[in-house]
Amino acid sequence: MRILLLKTWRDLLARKGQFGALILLVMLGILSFVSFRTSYNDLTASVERANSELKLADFTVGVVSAPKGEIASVARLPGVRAVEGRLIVDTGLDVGTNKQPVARIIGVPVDHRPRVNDLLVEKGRYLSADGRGEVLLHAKYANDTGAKVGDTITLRMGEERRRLKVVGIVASAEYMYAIRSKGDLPTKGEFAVLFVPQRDAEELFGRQGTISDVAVLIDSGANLDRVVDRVEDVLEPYRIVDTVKRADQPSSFALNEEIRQNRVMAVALPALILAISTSSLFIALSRLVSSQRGQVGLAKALGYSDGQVLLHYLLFSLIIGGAGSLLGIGLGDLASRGIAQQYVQLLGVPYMAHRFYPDVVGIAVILSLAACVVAGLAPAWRSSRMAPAEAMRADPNVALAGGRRPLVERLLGRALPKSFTFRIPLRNVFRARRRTAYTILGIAFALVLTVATRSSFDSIDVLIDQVFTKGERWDVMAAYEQPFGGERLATVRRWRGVHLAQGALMLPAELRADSAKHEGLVTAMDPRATFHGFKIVEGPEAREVLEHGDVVLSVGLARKLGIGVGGTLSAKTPYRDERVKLRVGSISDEALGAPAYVSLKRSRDLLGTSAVRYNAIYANVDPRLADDVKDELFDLPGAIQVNVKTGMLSSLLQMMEFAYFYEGLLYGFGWAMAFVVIYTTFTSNVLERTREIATMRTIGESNARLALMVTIENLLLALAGIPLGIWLGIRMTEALYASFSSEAYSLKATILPLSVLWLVVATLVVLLLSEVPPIRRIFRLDLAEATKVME
Amino acid sequence: MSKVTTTERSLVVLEDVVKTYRMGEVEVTALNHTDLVLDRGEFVVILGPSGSGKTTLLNLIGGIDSPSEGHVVVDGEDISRYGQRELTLFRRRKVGFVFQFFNLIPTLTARENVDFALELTRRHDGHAKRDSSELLSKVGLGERFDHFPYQLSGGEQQRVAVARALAKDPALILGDEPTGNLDFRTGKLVLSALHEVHVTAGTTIVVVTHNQPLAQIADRVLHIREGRIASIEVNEHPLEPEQIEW
Repeated sequence: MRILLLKTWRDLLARKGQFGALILLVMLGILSFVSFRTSYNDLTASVERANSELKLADFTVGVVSAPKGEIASVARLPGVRAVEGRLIVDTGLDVGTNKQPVARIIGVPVDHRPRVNDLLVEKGRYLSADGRGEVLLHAKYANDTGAKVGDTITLRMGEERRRLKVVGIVASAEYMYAIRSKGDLPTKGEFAVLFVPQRDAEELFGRQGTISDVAVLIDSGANLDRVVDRVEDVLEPYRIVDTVKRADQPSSFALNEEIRQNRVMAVALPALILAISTSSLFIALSRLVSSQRGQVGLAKALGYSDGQVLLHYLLFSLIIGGAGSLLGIGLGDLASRGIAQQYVQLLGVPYMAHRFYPDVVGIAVILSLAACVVAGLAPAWRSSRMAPAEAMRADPNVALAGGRRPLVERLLGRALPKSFTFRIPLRNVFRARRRTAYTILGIAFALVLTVATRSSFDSIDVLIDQVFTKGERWDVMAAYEQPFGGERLATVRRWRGVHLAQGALMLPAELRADSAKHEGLVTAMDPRATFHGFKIVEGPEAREVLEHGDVVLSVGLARKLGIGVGGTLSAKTPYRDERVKLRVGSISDEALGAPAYVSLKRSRDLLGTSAVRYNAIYANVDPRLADDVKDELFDLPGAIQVNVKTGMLSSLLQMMEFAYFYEGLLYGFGWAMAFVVIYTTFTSNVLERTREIATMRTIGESNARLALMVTIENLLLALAGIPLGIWLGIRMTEALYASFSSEAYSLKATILPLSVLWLVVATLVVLLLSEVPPIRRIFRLDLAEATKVME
Repeated sequence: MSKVTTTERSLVVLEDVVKTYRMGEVEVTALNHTDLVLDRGEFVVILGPSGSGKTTLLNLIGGIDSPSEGHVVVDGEDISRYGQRELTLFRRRKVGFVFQFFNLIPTLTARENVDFALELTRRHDGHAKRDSSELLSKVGLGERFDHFPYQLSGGEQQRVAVARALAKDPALILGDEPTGNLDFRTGKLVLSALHEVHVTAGTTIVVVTHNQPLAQIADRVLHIREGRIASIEVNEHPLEPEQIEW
């Protein structure tokens, strides 16, 4: 047995390039599996720790205005563990640029740390009981803008400016994903969360002694819905705007979505990579062991048992699987730390939990070793079953099988080049069908990951184009706290630089259809308004629907409510006690959010007024005067948000940098996989034809022509492998996106023609590079030796 | 100063040729200060036990290996210091090979295997000197032109290999155990094909073999031992392939 061990070792050394590639292949599979699964586990653990340590509310109830004293009433309710009442108001920040960040002012206690939705002071200190004009700045905005402790922040409150001093930079479980409302995309430097003493908040907005938000933590074991009902009963007189449970809280919802998506990636992607690596491994190892048929026969002739021979090849596989796994686990753990760290930073999670997960490692190793063992054993088993004499028999005909004129040549014979430099590769493609199938699959597998990544880039680009070019057709938009009449619109239309100003009303509403319900915004607009472009997928044009007083629903919302065109839903707003029935007129493909649209005329029913009111203005402006218009819109009373579309777009693109970086890594990973897979496949292809190639060289064929023949053959195989890889990659992206899609957004798997071209060119380059080692092998063949090789 | 005497008829000249191989830590001398002259139109058989250096000698003559010392001159060309590219061109123009395992291109028919060699010649000379059908007929493969190698018997395959070797109209045909993988009857057919070429075209043929009886058809027989030519036997009356038995 010692000799067989020695043989195993020498075999490894003799084909170290090929074995190295196989080890690399296993390593890549394990690396991806371990890094993605571990980073997913780490992220989940980090978020859970932040929620627990920072006491994220189980639910919040928003009211128009309630006296502070009611907090004590809520605190006494059964099932309530802790409660905190806060005044929360959105206003603007004066940053002196073309950006108009929204500032969310949140009143917090100064005599004690918040009992619910606590803050983690990352820099500086907490608010002092006797300090005035102090503010704690949320870390996300501080990181986006470089604001630091000691800086001054200026609030815009209509015409008035108020300066606050930053005494601390804080993290909050409530705003880990710093967005204003559910479904928003995070932006850079557009949204600041400021924590001020509750008394300062009341004073700033002239709402002394009042709160607008009640955050509650419930006792463990308490029934959430019952506690919610009790709290709502207490706060009912103060006009409840919304009740938001933790799962629907904007940051939690978005984070859970991220984690859910990450889970998909953590399962799907490594599974795919592992599948690619194990199947490529299977192919390469099977071919390698098959090529040792004669040696199996010799070992048996010398008296080694079937079991010993099998063990020898088992060892062969175990070494590859073991070495690849060890490297993959080590590098995977390192990579997971980096990925989780990046993710935690991006998502604003204040804690980082990193652990070693034996189950993850165990699964990865078992899968890889199983693949290696099966790949090695199957051909070894076949060989060991052969009689030694048969296995060793030097049959020159073994290498001759499969010589035929393929159908394509019979059909197109005259049209194809006559030269053998073309004909031999063409026939080789059809000669060994299994080898051809393996190679095509190898090329396709190698491409899947890169196509999926490229498709992700394209899909996001298309989404951005759909949202910012085709969907949102305004230049500047402003939202106001209180509804206003047509006079303000008329004023805005007269401003210099304003080409068009259109009014809209955005109403918080609960939409209900049968058993399903949705809480979100309903946008009321003029049927002829142009600020929003619809992409109707079912039903008549939006204008017609709105004129009829019906509602246009987004695809995601219709799906969530389980309703189609012609169905009826009921809407409830904080402004009216009765529910309003709305007929669904059309379904529109909206990329972001879960919007619903009605006409302004119809919104009167939702608002309970007879006059048309607005709380938002969408303007198309002279680009040179966009900043001036933005300032003027914000100076109008009650402004809570002003967006310049170009600014939003650039913020979004900045936010996407991480995504691009992350996908870039995947892309690089994909190409590395592609190289290794194609390299191992091509090397096997050349190794299996050593004698044939050596013969051609011996009788006078030049190295250049032989390299050309190998290249032509590989290109012919790529002709089938590349389209298959692209098709599989797109299907994979579709499957991934189907699992990603939520009511917040729906992505469609897209790949642009230019990307296809780029992928084809890049694959061909990788293919040509992968060919270099096997071609170098041809150049270095010992002709005297190789012409006698038995294949 | 040259110890080898050459004439105008000399086709292959080996002068003080040494070939050593490094096998791990050990240096093995396969050919040891060997001198040899082969004349045009000769049929030479090289005999010797395994490891004696006969295949090394054949490889050096055929330009698929280079000597460590000394000179190998074939048809006036000193190929001893040729690079890979020059050796490829040399083999393409001057040498035809017949291997023990036939070594046909499995994806090409009998005719195409010969045409492949013709295409190489055409690429070099601009035109083919021969026709594949004629060559295959010459080696007795009249009706199986369009069969693929796997459809041919061993003897037929080897005859295709002989036709392929002839395609380039080479100065020299080298056979390394050309009957080693054939039974007696088909082995004789292949030898007949080679002999026919030798007789009709005057092609120089060098065959390496273990098979002593084959020496009877040679003009000269070289006996090699331990990397040296131990003796040279001249056959005054070589036999026809049909006349020998083994």
